[in-house]
Amino acid sequence: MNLLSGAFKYVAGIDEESYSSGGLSVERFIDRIVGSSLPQDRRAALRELIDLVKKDVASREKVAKLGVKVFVAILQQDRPYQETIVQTLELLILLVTQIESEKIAEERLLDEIDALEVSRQVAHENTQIFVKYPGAVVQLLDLLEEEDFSIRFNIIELLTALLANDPVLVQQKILEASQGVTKLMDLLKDRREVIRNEAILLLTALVRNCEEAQKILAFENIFELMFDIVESSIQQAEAQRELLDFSDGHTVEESVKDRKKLVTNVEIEILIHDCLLLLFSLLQKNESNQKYFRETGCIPRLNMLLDLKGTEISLVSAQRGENLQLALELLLSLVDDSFKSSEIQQNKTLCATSGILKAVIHIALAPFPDSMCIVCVRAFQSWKLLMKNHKENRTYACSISVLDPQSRIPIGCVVAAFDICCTDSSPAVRLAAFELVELCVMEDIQDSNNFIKALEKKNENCELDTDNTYNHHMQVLSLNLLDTVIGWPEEADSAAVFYACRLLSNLLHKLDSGRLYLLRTAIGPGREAFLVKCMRSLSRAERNHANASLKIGILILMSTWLYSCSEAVQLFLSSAMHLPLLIEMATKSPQHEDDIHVQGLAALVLAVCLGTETDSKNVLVSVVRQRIGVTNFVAKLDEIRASDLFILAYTSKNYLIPDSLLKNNLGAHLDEKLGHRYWYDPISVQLFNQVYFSLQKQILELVVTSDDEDRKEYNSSQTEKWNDSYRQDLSNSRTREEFSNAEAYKSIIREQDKQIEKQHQRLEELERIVAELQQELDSQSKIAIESTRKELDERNARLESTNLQLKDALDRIAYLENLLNEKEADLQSISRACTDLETENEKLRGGSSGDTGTTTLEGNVSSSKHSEILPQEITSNDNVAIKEEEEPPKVRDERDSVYSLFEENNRLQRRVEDLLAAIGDWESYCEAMKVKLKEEREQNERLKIVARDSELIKDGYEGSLKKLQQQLDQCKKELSNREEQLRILSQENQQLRADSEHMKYEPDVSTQEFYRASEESWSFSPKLDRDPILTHSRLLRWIKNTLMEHINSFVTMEERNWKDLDNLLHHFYLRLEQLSKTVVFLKNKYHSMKYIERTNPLKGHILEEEQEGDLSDLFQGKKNSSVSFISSSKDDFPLVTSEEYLEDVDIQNEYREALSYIEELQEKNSNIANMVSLYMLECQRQYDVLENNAFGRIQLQVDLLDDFITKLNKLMRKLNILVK
Amino acid sequence: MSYAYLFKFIIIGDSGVGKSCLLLQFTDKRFQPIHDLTIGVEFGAKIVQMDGKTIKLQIWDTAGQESFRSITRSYYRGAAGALLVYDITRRETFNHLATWLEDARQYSSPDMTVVLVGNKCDLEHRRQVSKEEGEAFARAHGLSFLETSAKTAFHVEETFTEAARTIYEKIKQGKLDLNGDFQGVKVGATANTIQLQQNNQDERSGCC
Repeated sequence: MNLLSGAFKYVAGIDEESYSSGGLSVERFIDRIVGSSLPQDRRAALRELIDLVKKDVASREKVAKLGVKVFVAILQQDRPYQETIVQTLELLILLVTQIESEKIAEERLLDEIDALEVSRQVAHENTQIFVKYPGAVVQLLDLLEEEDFSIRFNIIELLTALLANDPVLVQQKILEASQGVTKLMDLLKDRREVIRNEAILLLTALVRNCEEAQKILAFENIFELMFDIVESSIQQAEAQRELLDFSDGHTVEESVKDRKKLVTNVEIEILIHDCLLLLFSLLQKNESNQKYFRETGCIPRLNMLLDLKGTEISLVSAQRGENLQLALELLLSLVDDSFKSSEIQQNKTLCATSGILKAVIHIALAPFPDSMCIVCVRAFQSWKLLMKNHKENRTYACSISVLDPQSRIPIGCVVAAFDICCTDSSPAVRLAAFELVELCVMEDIQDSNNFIKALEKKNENCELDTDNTYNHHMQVLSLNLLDTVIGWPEEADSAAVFYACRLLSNLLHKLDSGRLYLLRTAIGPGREAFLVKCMRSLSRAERNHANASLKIGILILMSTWLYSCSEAVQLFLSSAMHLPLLIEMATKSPQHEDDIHVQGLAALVLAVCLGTETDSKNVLVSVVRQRIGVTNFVAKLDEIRASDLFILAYTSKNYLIPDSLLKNNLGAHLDEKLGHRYWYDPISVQLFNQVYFSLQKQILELVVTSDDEDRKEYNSSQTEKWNDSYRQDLSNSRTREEFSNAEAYKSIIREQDKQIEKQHQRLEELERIVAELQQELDSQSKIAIESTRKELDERNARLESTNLQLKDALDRIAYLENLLNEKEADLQSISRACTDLETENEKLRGGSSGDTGTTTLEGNVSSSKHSEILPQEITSNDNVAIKEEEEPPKVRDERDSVYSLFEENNRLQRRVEDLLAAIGDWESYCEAMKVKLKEEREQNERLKIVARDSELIKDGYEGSLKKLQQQLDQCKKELSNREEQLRILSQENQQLRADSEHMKYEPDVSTQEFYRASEESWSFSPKLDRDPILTHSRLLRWIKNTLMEHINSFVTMEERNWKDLDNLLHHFYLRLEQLSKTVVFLKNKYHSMKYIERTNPLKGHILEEEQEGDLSDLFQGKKNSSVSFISSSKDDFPLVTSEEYLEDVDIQNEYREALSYIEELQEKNSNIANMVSLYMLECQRQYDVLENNAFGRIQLQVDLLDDFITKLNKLMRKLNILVK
Repeated sequence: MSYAYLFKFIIIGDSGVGKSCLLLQFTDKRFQPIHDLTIGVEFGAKIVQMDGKTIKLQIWDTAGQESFRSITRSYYRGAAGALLVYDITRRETFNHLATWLEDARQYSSPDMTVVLVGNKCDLEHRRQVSKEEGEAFARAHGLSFLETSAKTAFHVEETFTEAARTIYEKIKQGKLDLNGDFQGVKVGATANTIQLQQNNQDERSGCC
């Protein structure tokens, strides 16, 4: 029954390298486990392996490496044999646990620290080997189904050890296992308390910095379960106590009983502590769980953890104190204002209604011993947070009365808190109480203003409000405050006075009217003015060499009070004692490092007086000048401004928190009562600076102007009063010296002012320039595109106009050709008519020779000889007549007939004459026509030549067209080059945002379009021959269009790039903000943990380690999330986010990488922008060249055509002339 | 804050089908067109009235992504009801329903009530899964079915009350063992008194 054959194969397949003897034995044991067919044998082998590992620490690594498969196989297959399982689990625990330092020391292994380090590393590596082995964690979780105690217990131990070694990995594996967290959660329902308690610790380790596990546990009702456990154990403890009390005192000795009581109590307190720790881990930094915590009504259940009723404070154990502290910290995390406000407000209300606030107040005011002062501090902090920005809670809390521990009379709890602030032995508690009281007073003056009311009542000497407890308490507090300010040394110590002064001064700062009310206030049996009392207290402190903080407190109060309140200054200066006291304080040679602050603040009070217009100002000026000296005076103020304490208060807001005092508590301090030297807070710093700057100019002016006056004054006074002229001279010369010093100083300051001004201006200019550059950068590409677009439009318009012109020219040519044809047709018809006429003429000539015979001969006779023709005819007619007269017989008749004949002859002759004339005309016309014809033919010849010429020109055109076509081809080539470049660009774009598929898709599409366009251009290129000019324009238009398309695509790409970048930047910024917030929060948490360490070193150590783990885990988590965020934003498709877990990189590196990544992106983008602009320029240039060529050619053609037309016109004109 | 019963619901379904929007619409009555990807699980709560009883619904909105599947599985066991959501404009989300249901059946208590929800029915023009198909699937697996729009709030309230009512009916019929392992339902402080009163009334009516 070899169940482990699979594992056997694995082990057998390992390369047998040269193992050490230990290694060999390890292998032998593992072989035995694999080879053994009986479970007993396997068990024995395991036992031996455990012994080996226990003995030989160095073998652990090898055992883990070689055995992990086998062990997992055992867990899987040997389930029926519990003992085997338990042994395997024990072995695994051994492998992943760090060796304790005592053992190392015992065995003298290497150097102790090195050995520790090595053991930690081995444990870590073994953890990884085991956890990363597929199915290992799942197998462990499945084994939890077994009810067996030792199996469950060992699994819990093993998982806890694994989580301690590599929390993130193990958490991940448990989350990946189906319902893994749920299975662990079920362990809490185990009836065996040991298992349950161990499971609580395991869950605490599991949910640390693991929000998902936290939420799953919340879903599984962990909150209620925890409170159930706490409640039942508290009840159990009470029951046991009662039982012990009840049992007979005689049989059981008191001490035994007490010890028993103590033991059960401690056990239960530890259990409660573990529960609280788990709750704390579940709620910290998890808004969703906090919300669920409230939803499930768990906040009121906190009450039982905070309830001190029936508990003797002196009997509270350290563990109980720690539990209280933890419970209060839990509460603090629920009401921390820095998160969601609406939820927090609800939490606060709930805390008040459920009695938690009251319980917190009781804890805060309870007299805990100094070792547990942190409980009080946390209670004060919780109390403060519960009231902050929550008027109802504040009114409620301040109305609560408690019994005064000494006098046993009920007093307001705020009053009691102020008492604690004034008297407590722990500086941290004092500060925490002060912060609470300050919050109450400062928020009170905004609505009820009981401070003023109390002063009024005091002045009118009537009773305080008693009908309203809240008002009453606040008014009592106000009066106690005043008493404390002047109470030194009998009623208040220096720290109490300091805190009272700070509170009063902050109050006056917020409440302008308070200054006058306070001024009218008289106090004490003698009803002296409060201001006078204050100064007397100060003077007493000065005389008795009291603590610096006392003096500083009163001086700060005075400066705030006097600031911009002339009445107060008046009253202040009216006493002869005040000014000398201040002068003395300011000029006394410092004996202690704190004295510079006292001196400076005394100078500040003087400065405040100087800044206020009063009657005695001149006196003040001269006193300052003569007794202190202006330079010295300013130097005193400067010394404070230069001190670290002042700078600290100026630069950081929350530099002083009670926790820092807890830390400092161990070191001896100058002022034990106050516990710190942070005398300045932001309000006093602000006041100081205001006074300082307003006086800086004024003092200089006063010095300059008052010099002359003073001298006059001094002269007069010299005659009147002063006798000691020497002293006067001395003082005068000193004044002069000071004056010159001041002059130099002034000039330097002026120069510096100027320089600063200049620097400011330069800075502004630079900023402006940067902004402009940014704008330009943004708009440049757009402008460029716009301008090219415009230019293209213009060119296009011009092209079209030229095209039109050409068309016109063509029309004209066509018209002229038609005209020519018509003319030619006319010519032909004329010539035809001419020949017709000739033939007719011939005919006529033939006719006339038949009739007259002679006429033909006379055909050539010109019309000018017309008169000669007639007589000849007459003679011929005469001849006819003679012939007729030769007929004798019928002479008369014949004569008549001859007559008629003669007449007829005459008629005929006339007709002939007419005809002849007509013939003559025609003949001349024919001649002319012939001449014309000849000319016409010549003309034709010439036209033919011209036509041939034009044919040649046409050939020339065709040649040039071919050239153009070639150029077009070149152009295409170049365009394809551009296309290549475009593709390169698009590739770069791809690199840039490898994520965005569609971004890549865009240029591809445009290239395809480009291809199509170029193919189209190929297809229509044959048309070029037919229609040269139009094709040119089409070509140009096409070029323009493609350019436009490219420009547009680039613009869109560019815009998208910028938008993406913006988004990315925005997201980064947000993420970084979040990160920095959490980092700050963590730091605070880390600090607080340090203090826990102080109060309880052992527990604190663990806590601190945990916290360190927290920190790094959070960094890791945040880093992962930011990485996943980056990858998600890269992918544009959020489905693939945060699946990968990257290696350890510091978060700052991450940040820097992110920044550099952004810079890279920007660089690349700008590169692209450059390339785009270059490409545009190139295209533009190309286009210009092409256009110029085309335009030149068109121009040439137009010119030639024009020439042709003019020639034709000339010819036409000639023809017309000829025709005419 | 007192309630008769508390029901725990989970919302499951592919990434981007509008689970978080459904929850937001139900609890806050608002619609957020661009919702961040849910990481892990978000939580929301609302009180509804049923037969004069106050029933508190705790709704856990899970992440639909595959990488969070093992985390989502941890929530099945403690839930009384599940809203299985798909997107009617994306068929693949409908195709994955069987896987989801299988998962739910495997890890949840057998008494868990599942309501099938076809979300985004305002986008009728992009519909890829017909209502009939959804109904057929629901019928085949014995689920209730509703088409909703988290954008217009159409049927959102009804979906949750439908699920709550189904569970409530089961309780009334005694089908759910409230004292046993079933964790999805908690009996509140007021539930018992009401039940007692009812019993008394029943007895009285019986007497009369």
